Amino acid sequence: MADTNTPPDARTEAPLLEIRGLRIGFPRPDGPPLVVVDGVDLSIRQGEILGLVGESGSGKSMLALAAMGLVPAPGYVMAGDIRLDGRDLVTLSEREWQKVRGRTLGMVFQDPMTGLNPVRSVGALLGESVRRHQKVGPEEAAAISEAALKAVGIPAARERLAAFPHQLSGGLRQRVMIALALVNRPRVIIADEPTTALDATIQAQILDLLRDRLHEAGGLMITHDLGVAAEICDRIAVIYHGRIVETGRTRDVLAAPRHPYTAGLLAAVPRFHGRGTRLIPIRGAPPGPVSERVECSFRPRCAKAAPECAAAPALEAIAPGRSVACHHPVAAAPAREDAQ
Amino acid sequence: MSDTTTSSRLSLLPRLRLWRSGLRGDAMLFAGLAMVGVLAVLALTVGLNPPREATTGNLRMRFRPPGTEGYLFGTDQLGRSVAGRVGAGMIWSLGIALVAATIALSIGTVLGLVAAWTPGWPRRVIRTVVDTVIAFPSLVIAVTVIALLGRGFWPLAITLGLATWPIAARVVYAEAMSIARRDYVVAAQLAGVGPVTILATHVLPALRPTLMTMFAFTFADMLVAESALSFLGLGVPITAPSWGNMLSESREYLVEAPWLMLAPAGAIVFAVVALNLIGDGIAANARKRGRAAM
Amino acid sequence: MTGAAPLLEARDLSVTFATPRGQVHALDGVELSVHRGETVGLVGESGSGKSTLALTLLRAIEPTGGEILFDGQAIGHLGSRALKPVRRRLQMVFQDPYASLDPRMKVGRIVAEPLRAHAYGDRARIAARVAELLEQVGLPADAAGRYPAQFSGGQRQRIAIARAIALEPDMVVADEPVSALDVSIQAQIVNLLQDIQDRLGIAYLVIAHDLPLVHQIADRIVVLYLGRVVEEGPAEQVVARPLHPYTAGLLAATPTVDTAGRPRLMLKGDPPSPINRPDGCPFHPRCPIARDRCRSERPALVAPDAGAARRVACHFPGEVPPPLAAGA
Repeated sequence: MADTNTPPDARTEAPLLEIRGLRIGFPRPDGPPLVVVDGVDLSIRQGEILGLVGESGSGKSMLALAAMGLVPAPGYVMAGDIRLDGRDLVTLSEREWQKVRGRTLGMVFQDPMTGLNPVRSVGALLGESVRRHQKVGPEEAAAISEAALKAVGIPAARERLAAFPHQLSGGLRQRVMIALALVNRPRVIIADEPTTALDATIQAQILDLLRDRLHEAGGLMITHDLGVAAEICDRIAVIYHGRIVETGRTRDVLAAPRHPYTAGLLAAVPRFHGRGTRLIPIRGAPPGPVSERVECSFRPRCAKAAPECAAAPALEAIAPGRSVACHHPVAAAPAREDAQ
Repeated sequence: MSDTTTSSRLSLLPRLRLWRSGLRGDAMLFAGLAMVGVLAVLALTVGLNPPREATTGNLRMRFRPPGTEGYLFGTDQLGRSVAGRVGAGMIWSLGIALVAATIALSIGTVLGLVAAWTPGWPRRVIRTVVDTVIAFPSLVIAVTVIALLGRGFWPLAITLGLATWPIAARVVYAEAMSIARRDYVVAAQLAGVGPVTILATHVLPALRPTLMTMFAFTFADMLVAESALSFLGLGVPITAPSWGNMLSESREYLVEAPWLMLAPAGAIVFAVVALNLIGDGIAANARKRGRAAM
Repeated sequence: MTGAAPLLEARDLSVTFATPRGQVHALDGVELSVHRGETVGLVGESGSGKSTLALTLLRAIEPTGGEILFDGQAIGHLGSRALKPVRRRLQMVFQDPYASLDPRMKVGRIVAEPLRAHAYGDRARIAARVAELLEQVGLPADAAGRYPAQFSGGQRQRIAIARAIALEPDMVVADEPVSALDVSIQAQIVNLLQDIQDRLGIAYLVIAHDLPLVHQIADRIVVLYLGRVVEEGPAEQVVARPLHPYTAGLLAATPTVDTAGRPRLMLKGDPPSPINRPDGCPFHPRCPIARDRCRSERPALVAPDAGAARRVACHFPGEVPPPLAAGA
C-alpha cells in the first residue's frame, strides 16, 4: 500500500498518528453490518494539521471517535489499525484508553458545554487531568493549569480557575476545552467541529488559537466547512460516504479540486466574488450507509458518471502528496492562476 | 417536565420503570395489554356474576388452604371462596380505580389545556387552584370528603379523582406549553390557522402518548390508593369484597391463613404491573418515534 | 424601487422582555424596510435579536414599542382576527425543517394547512393546488401521502417552502433557511428560493449568520448588533466597503475558501448580553477605533453622505479599512 497522502518533504519522518484500512461497522439483526467508515488511510505528522472534510453522515465524526476509542456501541472497529506514535490503539482496553486520552491524545468537541463537567470548576477540571497523567503535587498542578489557560488567551487566568463552565461565555468555554486538551502536552489533538456552535467573530478567534496550538503537536480537524479547513489546515482529506475521495495540500485541493464531489462542493458554496451568478448545487442527496459497496458512491450524483463508475474506484496518487478516488478526475488546474 | 409519567402521592409503590430492563416498547405493550385483557375478561365474567361461594359463607369449610377441591385460593374465616372474592372484588377495586382515573384525567386535561391556551386570568386561576389542591395532603382531603359523602363506590371514586386531577392538569399544562412552543405550532399560527384548529390538529395528537401513559399510571396509582384507603377502613363498605378490604381483614389471620393476604395482594400486583407495562410501553414507543423523527 | 412605499416597514421597533435578571432589550429601536420583490439579508450574531425581529415582524412576538407597517397598514397591535388577511400575504420559513413540520401530519395536509385556514376552496381544489405546489418545489407527486420523517432535510425544507408560498404571499421571512442543511444541499434550496422569487415576485427577508450566502442572494444587507441596526445598504457596497467597524470585523472573521490566510481584523471579546448593554455606542467595548465620544454618545442610524443609499450608526464611519479590498 503506497503512502499516497504524504507531502514529499515529510516523507522521511514517521507519522504521529497513522490510520490504515480502518473499517467501522454497525451490526444489524437482518444482514451484514452497515459500514460507516470503509477502508480509510490517514496520517498526521508532527507540526501538521490535517482537515477531514465531509457532510453529515459521511463518517467523519465516527472516524474521529474511533481515533479516540469512543465508537458508540453497538458500533465497532471491523478492521484496520490506528497507530499513535507507533503504538496500536485498536486493541487497547478501556483502562488503557483512559491513560491515552487526555495525555497523548487531546480532544476538543463541538459543544463545550457537554465536553466540560458542569459541577467542576475550571481549575478542578484542569488540575484533575494534570494530576491523573503527571506526577505533580497540587500546587504544581495549579500552576500548570494557570499556564494552560494563559496559553489559550484567557485573560485573568488565575481568577478563572475558580469559575464554573456555565459562568463563562461560549467562546471562553471553548478556550477552556482547548486548554484541557492541551494541558498535558499531547502528541496529537483531535478537534471535532470545534467552532461550529460559535458566532463568526468568536469562531475567528478560536481558529486563530487552534492554528497556533495544533501546529505545536499534530492536529486532526473534523469539519463540514471548507472555509474553516482552508483557514487552518495544511492538508485536507475529503470524505464521502465513509471513504476518502480526495487528499492533498489544502491550497492545491481548493484551487484545483480533482474529485467531482470536491469540485461540486466548491461550486455550491457562496463566495464573495460570485454575486449575481447562480450557485451550482450537487443534485440528489448523500446515500445512506450500506454493508457492501459496488459502484462509486458518488455515481448517482455525479455529472461525469460513466460505465466504469459501476466499480468503486480506489484512492490513487496522481501527483506527489495528492490522491483521488475517481475514474475520471476533473481536469487539473486551469492555466489561469488566481491572482494573489 | 416533559416526561410522560406522572405520580400521585397516594401511590404506595415506587414507579416500576420497567423500560430500564431493556424490554422493547412493543413487547411491554403487548404483555401489559394481554394481562389487562385477562383482567377484563375475568371482571366481566366472574366479577359481574360472582359464584355463590364468594358471597355465602360455609362455616364447615373455614380456612381451607389453596388447592382444596373447588377452592383455587382456599377459603376465608367465613368459609367463602377467596378466588371468588378476588374476582368479585375486581368490580370494586378496578372499577373505582378506572372511574377515578377517568375523572382525574378528564378534568386535568381540560383545565391543563385551558390554562396553556388562554394566557391571562384563566391561566392564573387554574394554576392557583392546582397549587392549592396539591398543597393539601390527599389523605386529608379523602378522609374529609368520605366523611361528608359516606362510604361506597361512587364517593370513593369521585374522591380519588378529585384529589388527583391537579397532578394531571400540571402534566398536561407543562406538556401543552412545550408543544405550543414547537416550530410547527408557531408555523400554523403564522399561516393563519385558528387556535381551536391548532389545538385539535397539532396539540392533541402530540399529547396523545402522554395522556395514554398517564392514564395507565394513574389507573395503577388509583388502584393502590383504593386498596390503601380500604385497608385503613376509609374506603368501600366493610362488607364489599374490595381487594383493600380483603387485605385489611387478612391481617388477623396472617399466620394461620397467609393466602388470605397473598391472593388480593397478588391481584393488585398483577394489575399494577400490567398497567405499568402498558404505560412504559407507550412511553418507550413515543421516545423511539421521537428519536426517529430527529 | 426607492421611490415607492415599502411593503414592510419597521419604525423604531422595540421588544423588551422581563427576566429574573432584569429587563432584556432584545430589539431597541429597529428601523427596517423591505420593498416589493426585493431580498433583504439580515445579518447578526447570537444575541443580536435577529430571530426576535423575524418573529416580531410576523407578530408571533408582541412589540413593546414602535410600529410595523405592512403595505401601509399598521399591524403592530392588530388582534388575531384583523391579522388574518395580513398573514395570508406574509409567510415564514423556519430554520429547522425537522421541527417546523408536524411529524404526525402527512405532507399533503401540512402544505394544505394555510389553504384551509384561508378557505382556499373545496377539497379537490386544495388537493390540486397541493400537487401543483409540490411540483413547484421539486418534490414527487406522491409526497403528499407520506410523512415528514420519510424525507431528507433538504426535502423537508422544500415542503416548508411549499407551505409558505401556498397562498402566493407578497413576502416570506426566512430565518436561517439553509443553515441546518448539508453544504451540497444548501445550494439547491438557495436556487429554489431564487426561482420562486423570479416567478412570483415575492419579497424575502432572509435572516442568516452566513455573510457570503446573504451577499449571494440579497439586494440589500442589514446588520444587527445588540438589537440595533448598525449598518444598512446595497449588498455589494456593504461587502466591498463596510462603513461600520462591526461589519468590517464580521466580514474579516468569515472563513471562506478564497480568503484564507489573509491578515485579519480581529474583533476582541464576545458580543455582550442584551441584559447589560454598554452606554454610548453598544459596540464600543469591542471596537478597534472607539474614542471617548463613542463611550458616551449613542450614534444614530444616518446616511453617511447626502443622497447615499446606505445608512450607518457610527460616529466615525468608514475608518476601518475594507478587509476584502486586497483579495478581490
